[in-house]
Amino acid sequence: MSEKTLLIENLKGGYLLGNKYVDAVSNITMLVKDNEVLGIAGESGCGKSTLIKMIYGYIKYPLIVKNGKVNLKMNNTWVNILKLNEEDRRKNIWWKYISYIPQNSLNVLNPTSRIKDHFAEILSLHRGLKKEEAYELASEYLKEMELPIEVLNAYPHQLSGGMRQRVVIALALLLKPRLILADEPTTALDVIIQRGILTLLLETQRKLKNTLILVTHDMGIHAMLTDRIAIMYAGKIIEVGGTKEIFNNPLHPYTKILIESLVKIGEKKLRRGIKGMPPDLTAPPSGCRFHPRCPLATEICSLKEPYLIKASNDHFVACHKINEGIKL
Amino acid sequence: MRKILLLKNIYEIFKSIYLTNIKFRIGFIIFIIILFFGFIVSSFAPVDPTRWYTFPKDLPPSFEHPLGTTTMGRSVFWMLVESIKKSLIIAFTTAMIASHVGLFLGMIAGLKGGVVDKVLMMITDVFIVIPSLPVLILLVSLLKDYLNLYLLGALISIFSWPWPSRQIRGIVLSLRERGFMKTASLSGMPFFRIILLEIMPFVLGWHLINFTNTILYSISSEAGLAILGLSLLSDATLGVMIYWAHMQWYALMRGIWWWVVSPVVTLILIFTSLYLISIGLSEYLNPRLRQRGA
Amino acid sequence: MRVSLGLIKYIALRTFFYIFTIFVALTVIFFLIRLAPGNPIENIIELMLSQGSVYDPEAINMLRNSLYEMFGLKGSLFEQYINFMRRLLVFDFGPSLSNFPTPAIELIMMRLPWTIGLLSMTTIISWMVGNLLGALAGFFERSKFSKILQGIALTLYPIPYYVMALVMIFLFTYLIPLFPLSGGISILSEKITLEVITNLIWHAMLPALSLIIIGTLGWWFMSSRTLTINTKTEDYVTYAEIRGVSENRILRKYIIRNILMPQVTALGLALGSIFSGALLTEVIFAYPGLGDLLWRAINARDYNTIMGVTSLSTIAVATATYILDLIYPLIDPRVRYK
Repeated sequence: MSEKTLLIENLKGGYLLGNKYVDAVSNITMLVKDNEVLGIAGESGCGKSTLIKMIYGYIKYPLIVKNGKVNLKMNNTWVNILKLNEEDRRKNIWWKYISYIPQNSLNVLNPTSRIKDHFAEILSLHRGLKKEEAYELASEYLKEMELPIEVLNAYPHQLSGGMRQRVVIALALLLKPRLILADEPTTALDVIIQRGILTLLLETQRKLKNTLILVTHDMGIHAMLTDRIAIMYAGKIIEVGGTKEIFNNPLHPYTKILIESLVKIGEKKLRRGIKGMPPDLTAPPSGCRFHPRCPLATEICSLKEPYLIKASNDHFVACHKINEGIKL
Repeated sequence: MRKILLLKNIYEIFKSIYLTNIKFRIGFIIFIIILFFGFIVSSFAPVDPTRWYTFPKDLPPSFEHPLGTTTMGRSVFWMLVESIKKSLIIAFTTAMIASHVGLFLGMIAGLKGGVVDKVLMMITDVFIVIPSLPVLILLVSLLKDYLNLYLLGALISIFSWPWPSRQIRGIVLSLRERGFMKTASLSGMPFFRIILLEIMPFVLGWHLINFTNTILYSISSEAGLAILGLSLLSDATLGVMIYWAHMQWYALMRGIWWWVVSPVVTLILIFTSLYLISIGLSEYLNPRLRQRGA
Repeated sequence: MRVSLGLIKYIALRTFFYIFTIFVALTVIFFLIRLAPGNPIENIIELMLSQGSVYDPEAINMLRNSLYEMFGLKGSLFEQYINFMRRLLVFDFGPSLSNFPTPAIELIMMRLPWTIGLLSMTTIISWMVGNLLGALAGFFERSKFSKILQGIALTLYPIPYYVMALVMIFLFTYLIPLFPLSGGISILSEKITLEVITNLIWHAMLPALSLIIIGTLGWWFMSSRTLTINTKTEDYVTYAEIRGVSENRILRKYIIRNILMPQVTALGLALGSIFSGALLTEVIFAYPGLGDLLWRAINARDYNTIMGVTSLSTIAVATATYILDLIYPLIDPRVRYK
């Protein structure tokens, strides 16, 4: 029986480009539990990264929040992150409760600072430690994380891409946050290193028993790591549920195609792509945003937007076709 | 037919920059006005402006003599417009030579890479480090008797080619990194066609900027040399005006301020306008900054 | 400090460049002198005779010999070259033609401290203040102060030092007579008293201001502001914001610390122009440095001195650039390691 840790209500936000507005996150309501790994899947441009930034509360122009709440359970009370002022977020929430692993880690470390100073900075900022104490703690910590201690004295450019990413993850987990947001942590890394990183993330989650939200377009990673998955398309969540359930029984046409895109050993069937392109979010399609590309689309799909309806225990889907079937 | 299309293209691009970038607009307008004075108005001079004692000396600005007269009996206004023309001719000469040499060398360095690049860059850096003025002084003082507008322009170009060369090399390198050159080459396009179609459009914009900057640098250098007495002293350039006014006749100390102020203000206007044009162009070429420039 | 292979390669390369630059410059000067039309030597001697600088026949012969050596009419080209180089590298430029028989190097040495003093003070101040202001303006891009300074900088940037010098003269010696028009000092005194120092500063004020205003609010402000604006969008700055690092700390450790490197490099590349500009400013103010010496030498056709100042200037700028090159690895860890 897991506790709820994050509740997103009717979150709506996007980017201002000149006089246009990109509706990147459109009315998302989601529940995330404690001690679970939630995956957010979808193609590039579907709004996954934007959603993560909004959950974290990193709202910087041209990103704006139009509506909604991001409620985080802290000390048995619910706190709406979006309502706090930035000072509050910086001091109390960021890195302590929630931490963020960015998409491209090649250049996220300060080129003129040694790794140990990166750690010291966080420790002095959030725990008030002096430099020497911080260095010691960092040493201990790296041992725990099974990272070589020589890394501490190095500058970022001296480390390989994979090592840099592991340092970034180590920095994110330093203060043992309750919620970890990982945005495509393994893109641009080769497969072997990917595996090491994912193992690291998973093991940490198991140890700390916190929540990991993992954003990636790679369905294979979702299959390996996540307990539940939410599928996003064009700023909307179109299906969400337990990972096994979704992989065994994908309901939404889009989800079906995503899962079929995974290669199974021995299978020689031709992979199917989807016709068309992801929609322009400054002028999103009416009704169901997927309808222009959906093989099952009917008239109602272009008129009315489908909402998430319970298909079975812990399996929700937003699709008119499926909803008909369920009602029957 | 293609040429007309090309011209039309250029006109469209110009209009686009002119309308969207205020810096370019202001700079362009000022520079056009200066060009007007320098090349059109100057041909209406009543007498040869460099002839001494055509007018009474040291007259303050008045209706008859819009900018007054000098201690050598010349009209400041007519001298000024003639000087603009001469200074600009020298500067264009320098820009033609230096920016094209820089373009050529920069492209070779960027495209060939390796040893060729390293050697070229080392030579370029040598010319950047060596202070230009002392060497130019030595050069010009030795060649004093042969000096004319074009030779002076050419001499100044000796130190003006390194910066464009580095610049163009930088552009070519960043284009190479972007990979589409490799794609073109892999798809079988002959080398020169690659240069023409893929690289040139980007490079030309920066070449124009380099050209503008070189004009600026050259006017500045010539004026500097003139102040030292190392220019065409019997002719009229902006620097030479300042030379006679300030260095030889102490015009300011004697209260004949209009003689000094006119060329100085004109120089400032030329520099500022050219710089604004240059910045406007570079904002246009850098899409990230395009919106900010408006 | 562990020394990496990359660092050794870097130092070797910069050293080679330093020597190469001086070598090229001096060789160019060697050939330039031979460009002089006609028989320059007899011309010069005639000139000096008419000016009355020399009249002792023995001195004239000595001069003729040294001039022959200098202008390369003695021995094979290669021999001339070797002799030339040998002399130049010990700063033997021969006698000053207008102040015969004082060696040119002596005249130069008298002027050198003035130029170095003015140059180093103004360059250091401009670089530091300009970079700081530019970083602040870039960081707080939308503030009024940033926009105003940016407007000022746009006008000042393309103005050469000497034009600013003329403007300064017009404003502060003619319009509002506050400062002297020329010279370095107007008190004769053996001892260094407060009065002497004040007088020195008073004379140096306008030349220094010309250089500082253009340098600070022009060059360094513009470049560091642009750099800062670009650095602001770097991943590591965004990530620092996300971690909750304070604005103050981001400005110091992430932005300023990271724009130092390209700005030091830029300083190295700008030294040549800064030097040239300073020389001209000295001429305009008749400030007793190398610039003023050049002016007199040009007027008096003192080729030895001109050549001396040219050679020395090149060596000085190349050396300063080299020193900067050596300092650079101290601030850029990417060059220090690997």
